[in-house]
Amino acid sequence: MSDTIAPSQTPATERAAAKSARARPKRDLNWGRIGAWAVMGLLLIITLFPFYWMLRTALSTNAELVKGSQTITPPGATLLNLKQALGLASAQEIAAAGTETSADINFFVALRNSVIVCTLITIGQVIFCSMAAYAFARLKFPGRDKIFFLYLTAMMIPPVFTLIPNFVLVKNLGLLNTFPGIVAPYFLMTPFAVFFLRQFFLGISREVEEAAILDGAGRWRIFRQLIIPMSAAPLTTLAVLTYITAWNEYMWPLVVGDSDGVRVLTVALNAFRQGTPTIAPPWAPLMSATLLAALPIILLFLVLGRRMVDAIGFSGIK
Amino acid sequence: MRAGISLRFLLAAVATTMAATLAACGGGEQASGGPVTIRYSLWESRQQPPYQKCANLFQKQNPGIRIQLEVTGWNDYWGALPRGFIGDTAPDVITDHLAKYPQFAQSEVIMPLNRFAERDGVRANIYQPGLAQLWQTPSGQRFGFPKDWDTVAIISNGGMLQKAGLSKQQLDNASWNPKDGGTFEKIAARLSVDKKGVRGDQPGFDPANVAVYGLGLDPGSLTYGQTTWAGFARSLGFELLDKNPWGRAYHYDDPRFMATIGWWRHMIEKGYMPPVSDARTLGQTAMFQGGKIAMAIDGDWTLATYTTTKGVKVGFSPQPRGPEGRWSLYNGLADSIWTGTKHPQEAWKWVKFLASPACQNIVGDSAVVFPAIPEATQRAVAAHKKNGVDVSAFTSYLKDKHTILFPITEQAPQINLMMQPTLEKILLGSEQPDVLKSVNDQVNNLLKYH
Repeated sequence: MSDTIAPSQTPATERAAAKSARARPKRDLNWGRIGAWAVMGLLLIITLFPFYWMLRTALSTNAELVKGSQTITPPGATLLNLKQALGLASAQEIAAAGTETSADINFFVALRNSVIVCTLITIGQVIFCSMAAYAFARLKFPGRDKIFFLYLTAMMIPPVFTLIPNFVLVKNLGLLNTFPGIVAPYFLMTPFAVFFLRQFFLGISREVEEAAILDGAGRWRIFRQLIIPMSAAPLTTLAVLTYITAWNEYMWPLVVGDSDGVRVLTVALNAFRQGTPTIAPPWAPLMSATLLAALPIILLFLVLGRRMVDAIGFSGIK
Repeated sequence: MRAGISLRFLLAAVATTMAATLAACGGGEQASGGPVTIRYSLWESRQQPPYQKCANLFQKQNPGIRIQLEVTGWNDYWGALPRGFIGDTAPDVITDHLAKYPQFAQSEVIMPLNRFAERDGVRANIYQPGLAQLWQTPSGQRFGFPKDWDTVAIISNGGMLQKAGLSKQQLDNASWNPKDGGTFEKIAARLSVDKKGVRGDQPGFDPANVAVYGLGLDPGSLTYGQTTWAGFARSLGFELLDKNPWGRAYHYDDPRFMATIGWWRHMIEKGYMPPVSDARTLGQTAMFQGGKIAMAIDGDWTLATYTTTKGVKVGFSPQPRGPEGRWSLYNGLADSIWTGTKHPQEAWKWVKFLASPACQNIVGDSAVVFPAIPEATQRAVAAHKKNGVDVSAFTSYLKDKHTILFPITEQAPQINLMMQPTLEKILLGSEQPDVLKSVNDQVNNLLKYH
């Protein structure tokens, strides 16, 4: 009996063992993957939750927020805050919601101003910093490395230090409350941009340039027709980074450009601060306006994010 | 080649944008000839309509002058002004505050008005008693003519009083002392409800889980306690300064003051008053409107915000009676002229108009704030009455002469930087009221050695 059973059993167990042996690595992989996905999902939730909470606050009724509601969906969901941020809500609606502000945010004017300021800064920085970076990377001139070291030290100076001297300079130039005044300190260069591009340019092989020189190309021509096209990715990255930094800039535009015609979005959000000494800021419309102000940057990142990641990977190739 | 084009394109883009920008800026600066524009700044949007009416009337009388009103929120307002003073972009005429003007006067960014007033025979004795003297320095320089005044009162939610079995009359007649809080603390306790529905005066009340606090808290300006301790401490006979205005010594170390601030902390610990953090982020008015507090101590300038609370009968009662009666801080605003204005004569004309019955009556009729001229005050009271709001709680202190003039000294911003955090820490429980002894010495040294 046992003889007859044993052979029939062995193949079965063997098969099962073989099956499990074959299946095990697959199943292990699956568990690992599931774990990895779970961790990633968790991290994603942790990262995105504040943004969700911002959205939730933006869509809530201000009065409901005060009651301390902890629900995951917006309490008393309403679009009024968005309307108020865009200047589309009537005074009665706002008064009824208890979210009156002293000043108007003028959203679309501020948006236009932000776009003008950021575009000017980005264009200026990319052009001038790429030239400077190329000079530091390739041209030989006395004291080059010392000057570059000076640049690097400039990166370590907190912007607050230069705030007052810059303000006095811009004031004496008569550029207060003008776009050139807001753009001025960032237009020509920032040490970071020069440093960032120089590192990329150093990585471009000299042979290519030497070949161009043999063909009779001058420095300017090499820069324009060789270096720039080869560095499209890092230039895009720098442009996006510059744009985002410029968009989020608050202190400088507040100090030199806090008047109706030139006020940028970050400064315009001040309209939602405390209206009178004893009244707290209207949080819900403030969140709505902040969300709307962040939206263009989020869109920009969605469109160009992949290219940026590529560019950062590109830097590793050298 | 592609790169060449894109670079050229970029350069062209820069050039066009710059040109467009410069053109836009040039357009803004074309202002010569025609009427003189006087920029006038204020921080409260509710006051814009009455002052716009004043401006319209003024422009009719003075065709050569245009008034441009600029409204920014309180927080932003005091940040933007110094930037404007330094950057030469400040408004010609500013709404000024008693806590801020001594510093401005000292920095010579606002003008003494004496020579204008003497020339035009403008007198400072037409206002509610006491207000005008606050705008004059010890050397006799005047930096403003009073435009309005304010006091504070207890604002209550009628429905919550009723549910607690209390009447507004009981609140009107409430008494207070720092030892057991008097009937006022009993009312606040009764009005407090925890999340299980237990009231503050019942056994088992949980101060850590409160649904409705009996009394709100405005931790924004603890230094002078306008909407907190000022009236309470005065009802014990406490005086903050050795003399006011322009005192040389503060009395934060007075046992009566320490007892008052100690009572405040006791109210928070008992759960009858919200913790400082909640009170700050949510704000007293929003908590009242959201039904998180049953009573608030607030000034008449926020009156309209409270009365618009949906479905709530809002009542106003004077502050509770202490051993020396009922008291309120008495603050007032005025208009000052920036020294950098290009049109001082026109600016003065506007300031003179703002300080005159013609404008103050308009402001009174609008029932937003109480104007400084008694007759205009009466018009404001009548206008409120017409709206169904009884403001006698706010005016009662004037009748009894129980108003505390806003404390004015030099170094006010620096003193605020020391006192506000200290008092907050006491309310948070991380410091004992005893600390006031040493902090008061620091405050007085600041006055002595500067």
